[in-house]
Amino acid sequence: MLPAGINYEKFYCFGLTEPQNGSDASDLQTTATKVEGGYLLNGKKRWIGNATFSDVIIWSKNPSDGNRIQAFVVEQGSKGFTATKIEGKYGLRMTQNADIELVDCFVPEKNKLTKAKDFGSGTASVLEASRLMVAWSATGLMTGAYEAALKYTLNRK
Amino acid sequence: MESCEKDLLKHIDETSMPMWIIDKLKPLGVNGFQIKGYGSPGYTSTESGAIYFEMAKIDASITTFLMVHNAIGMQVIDLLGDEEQK
Repeated sequence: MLPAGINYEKFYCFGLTEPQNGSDASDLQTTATKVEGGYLLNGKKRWIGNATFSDVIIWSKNPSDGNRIQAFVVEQGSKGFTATKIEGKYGLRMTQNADIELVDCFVPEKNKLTKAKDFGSGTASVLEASRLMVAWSATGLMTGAYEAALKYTLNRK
Repeated sequence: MESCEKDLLKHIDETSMPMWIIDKLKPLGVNGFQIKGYGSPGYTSTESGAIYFEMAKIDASITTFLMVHNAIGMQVIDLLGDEEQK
């Protein structure tokens, strides 16, 4: 998956937040039911950035493994997967956020991320590593706004 | 460096994703960020942050697009996938 992603041939995104579970990400309602050769995913996700054109890493409870939160890569266009763009946003207007619905969406065993054992070792470790970059981005946004305002006020009479 | 800021306005109005931005991003060679190998530049955390900082000064939507694909996309596969999955 990585060479295709680095060449911009494929895109990947992160499906954690649900309509009813935002901050409490450890108690997801999406389920991955073990079937022959893989899993059937059922549930809903909301606000998932890039989800209209990316393969989505869906975080889900796995009832066959003690309801632990694990990760399943759902390929764009999979049967039972729909991503609908969220309209009416005021901010980050080009970023495509989506509502996702999973109805008996089959994910092959090979697409279950093997080291995502549970919330602590999987989901939380990813969030720790990635949220720092959000802070950099927010600081850049503010700096850009400041510099633009400064340039404007110094140039006008 | 050439800026594509003005060309983004139409997409901001339309709330559409300018996929042509990929051709502008490719020559920068940043995609992959902290991942080691697979054609990624293998940046440090600070180097990655500095790039997102500079991008966000111009546009936060495009920064978010690249950050999602990397920090909570490919990096998840790098961190939690096995060799075959990567």
